[in-house]
Amino acid sequence: MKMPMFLLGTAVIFWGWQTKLWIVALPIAIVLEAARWFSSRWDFSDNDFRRIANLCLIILCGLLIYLLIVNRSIYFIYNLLKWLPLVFFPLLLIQAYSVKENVDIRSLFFFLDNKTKKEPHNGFTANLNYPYFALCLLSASTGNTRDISFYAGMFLMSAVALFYGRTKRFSLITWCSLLLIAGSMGFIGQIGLHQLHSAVSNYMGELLSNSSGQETDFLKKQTKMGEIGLLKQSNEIILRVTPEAKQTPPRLLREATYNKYTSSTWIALNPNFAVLQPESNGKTWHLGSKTENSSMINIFATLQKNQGLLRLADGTFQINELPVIKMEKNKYGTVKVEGKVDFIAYQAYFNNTLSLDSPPTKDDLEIPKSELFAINKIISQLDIKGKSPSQILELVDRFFQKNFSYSLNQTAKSNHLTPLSTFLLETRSGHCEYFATSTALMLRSLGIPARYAVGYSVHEFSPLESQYIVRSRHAHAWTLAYIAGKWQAFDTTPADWISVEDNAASQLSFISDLWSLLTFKFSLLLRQGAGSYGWKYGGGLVLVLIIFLGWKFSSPKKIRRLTKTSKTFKSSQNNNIPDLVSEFYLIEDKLKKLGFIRPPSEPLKSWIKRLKNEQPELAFIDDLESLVELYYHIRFDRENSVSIQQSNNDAEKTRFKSFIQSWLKKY
Amino acid sequence: MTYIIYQLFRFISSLEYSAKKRLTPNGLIVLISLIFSGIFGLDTNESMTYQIFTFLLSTLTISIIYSRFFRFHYNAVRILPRFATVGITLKYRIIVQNKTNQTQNSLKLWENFADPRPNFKEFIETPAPSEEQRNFLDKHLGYYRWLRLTSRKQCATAKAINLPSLAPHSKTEIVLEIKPTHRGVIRLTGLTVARSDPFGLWNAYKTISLPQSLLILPKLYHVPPIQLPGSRRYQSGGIALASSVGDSEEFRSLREYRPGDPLRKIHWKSWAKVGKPIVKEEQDEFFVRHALILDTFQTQKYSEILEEAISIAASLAGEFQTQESLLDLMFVAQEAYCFTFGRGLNSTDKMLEILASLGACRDKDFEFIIPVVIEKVSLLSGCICIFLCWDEPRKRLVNYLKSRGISTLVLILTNKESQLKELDSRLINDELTSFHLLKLGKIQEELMKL
Repeated sequence: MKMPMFLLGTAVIFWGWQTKLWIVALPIAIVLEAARWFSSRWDFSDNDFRRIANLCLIILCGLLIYLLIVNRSIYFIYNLLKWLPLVFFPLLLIQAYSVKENVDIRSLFFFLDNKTKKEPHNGFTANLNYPYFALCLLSASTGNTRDISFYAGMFLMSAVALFYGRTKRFSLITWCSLLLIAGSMGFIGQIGLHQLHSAVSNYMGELLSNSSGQETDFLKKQTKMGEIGLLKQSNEIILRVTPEAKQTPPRLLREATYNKYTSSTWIALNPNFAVLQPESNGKTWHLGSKTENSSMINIFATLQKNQGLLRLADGTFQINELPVIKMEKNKYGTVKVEGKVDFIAYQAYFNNTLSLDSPPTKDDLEIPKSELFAINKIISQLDIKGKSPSQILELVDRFFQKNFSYSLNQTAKSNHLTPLSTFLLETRSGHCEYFATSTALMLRSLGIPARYAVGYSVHEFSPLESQYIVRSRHAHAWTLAYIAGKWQAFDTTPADWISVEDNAASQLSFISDLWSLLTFKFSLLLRQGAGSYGWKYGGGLVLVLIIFLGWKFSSPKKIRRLTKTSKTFKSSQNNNIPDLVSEFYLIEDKLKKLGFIRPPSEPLKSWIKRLKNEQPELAFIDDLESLVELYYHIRFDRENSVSIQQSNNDAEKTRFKSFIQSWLKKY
Repeated sequence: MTYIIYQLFRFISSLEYSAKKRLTPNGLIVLISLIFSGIFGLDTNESMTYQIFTFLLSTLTISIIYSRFFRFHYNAVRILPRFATVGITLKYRIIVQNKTNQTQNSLKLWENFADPRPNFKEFIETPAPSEEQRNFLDKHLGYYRWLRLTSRKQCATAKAINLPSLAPHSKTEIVLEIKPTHRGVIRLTGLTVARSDPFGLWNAYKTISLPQSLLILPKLYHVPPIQLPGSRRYQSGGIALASSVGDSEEFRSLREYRPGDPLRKIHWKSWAKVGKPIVKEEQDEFFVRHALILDTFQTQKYSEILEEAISIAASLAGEFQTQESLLDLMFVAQEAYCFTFGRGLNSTDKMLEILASLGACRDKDFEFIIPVVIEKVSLLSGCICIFLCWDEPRKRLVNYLKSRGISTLVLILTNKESQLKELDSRLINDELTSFHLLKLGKIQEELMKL
């Protein structure tokens, strides 16, 4: 099926319009459409097509690696898709300007060996115009304009394409009405699909973000308190921590802090994020004033969609080597960053004695009414009212260690009590969120301002990696208590929680750990490479390679250019040939007049031979034999004669002409 | 593992077969675009690809629904010859009768072949030609092996053709083309008439059962006339059914009846002419008689080398048919066979038919053919041997023929360059025996040098 005029060009322009790649799309469209008016065509061989296809695949791989480095999330796929029409343009270009209209599609596959690709093809050729058209529409969709222009444009262009491929058996009215039905169904369907996706992602979003432990909402933390069943924990490694030589890292890395508790949810009230400015190098950030006796840790982590919260030790006052675009910090010490890539590595300087969070407010003393009964009951049992804060902390800690146990499995649910009250009064068993929340509320009721902190526990040293690794299941919650003018971490979860978690983990985790290490090392390598000169030179090298391939392919010796007029005569004809033909045909005309007629199917040589056999008495035939030899030589052996010696050839031609003239005179 | 791959190929090829029936080329592009847009459109917030997905899905759905409304009843008669030859496109007629009240336009028609998928045993036993040169993946998956076996078993390819307009309740004659690719039997099971939907994406089709088969004769090479030295030999007992009638002796002259001549020797026409009994006088038969020994001993069921050997045998035998001589075709299949052709005995068709259905002999040794040769050796003037390899048993046979003074032409097929050189130096021609090595892929050139 032939592509209608301007359809491909329009699709390319549509792609440029939607993705705002005008500068690229316009020349591509012009070059592709101009082929209709440009009369010259090149005779590309299958090898040339293969080379160009390989070039496209090299560019594709290069782009893939580049996007993977820049954009380390699954969403790189949209960026890749956006550029595909440009990547495959060379292939379309040579198809458009080639004598052949089809491309051997086996050349598009890298993994096929040369033997297979060189076998004579039967049914493996295809015209790439329509696949490219479809690719342009797919790529245009990544522009994500969120208006009706995309659907309208896509519908119109598809309608044109479908119109040219329609079955003539049916009337135009039938075709139009079916197309309108399809268009309307598609339009309604896309609205429905989008709404369905939004609904499902809203429903699943919270669940997924909590279970992965990676994405934490800095405003709100929905705890898992009150859920029944075994808590699912992931074994994935999400952080790597390297302390300074021979030092142990801080046990807890805080991610976010909240101050208001209501029905199993912690909220950060009025967080007031303030934008921080880096030093002139763009990598050093100050969160507080520098102090003596500080420690340093290296942290390797990943962001989600280039955004996320930093996991920091208490008292972190400076972060080095973090090339992010934007950093914000709220009054509770939560640090939010926005970067260019997902993989981040930074050096955090901290001093445990520092407290950089905002001083307590009355919100830090508030207890929800629903929990008041249980809290008061426990406080009265403990009988600690009026004791000093340090004594209170000690008593509360001892109370939890003695009477409570750590468990990932929640079995009972009380109808008249809240989950927290059930934990405190009935089950006395639960996970860290129960302990941290209960402690915070108990301290509050005793007049000590308390906040709820979430983050990770750093305790697993990996001999394989020679550094500390933090898994998703190491996510932890604890209490921040405001004592003696500063916020202190206070963790009442029984110390055996780590062994309980470890026992629940899969025995085959070393496989995923090994894979994680490999990808981590690769990311590190890419990150180091990207910053160094090597990367720039590498880019240059790729460019040189591409130019080399281009040169190799476009070597003029290998491709013959044909104009449209000569396209039908693909053999190398020359303008002089009609002269030659007419010269000899003078003789043939002469013989015709004499009654010797050559049937059109009989070659000249056998004709002469036949004449000689039939009428050996004719003298002129003998001369003709040598003349025919010469004529054949000039007419059919041109390749050799032209390439060897032009002058010789010219001399031969004049000799031939004079022979003919003399023969005509003679007889 | 191989069995799983085999089953996977089976499944994929059946899927491909039904997809080919249902999907038009445009439909294929739409389906591929639909799959890709479905994958990329999963996140409706990140791109608008899901809009392409819904549009294509609704278009394809309409196409599929529309294909349910295809009311066409027809009948067809296929006029098929008995034979076709590999490499020569066969054109034949089909008469299609439109049994509906409407004129039918824009229909396509194609032939259905019997299931060409090989069984598991064939799949594991038959490697593709030069499979060892392919890459690791191709070697282990055996995709080319599968392709080759299916094409070998189908024996031919046929393209779908566009039907002209079919007037209501009328018969239309159309010409269909089949391109035979391999020797053997083509089994056609039926005809399918398809109509695509208004968008031209999805076919509705009606298949009628019309089973018929066609024998594909081996490919023939041009061979120069082969003159084997050797005199005519006395054919003891004559040749039944050869040119002369009677007790298989050659006619010499007519003479008058002598008492005691058998009645059936009376030449009745001459008696009518001259008015007295005349009898035919005959002499014992002397013929030039050649043997064509075809080596069919191969470990694989289908192999290129055997195909070529059969083609050469067919070409040589065809050439001998035009000469006034007898030809014994000897080969081993289930047992050792010897068929005699020439001088009115059997026809070329018969011989090509035998060669068309000949398979590899995988369970016997070369020695199995020797008794047949010994039985005929006293009658032979010359012998042509077509061997698939050169080893001791074959050498012994050639030496035996030489010792009996029979001039022999030995053609050895090979596909290995190294073997070619080695054999070339080892084989020595003498006045009775001449050797020729034929390399696969260059057989025609080599044959012309004979």
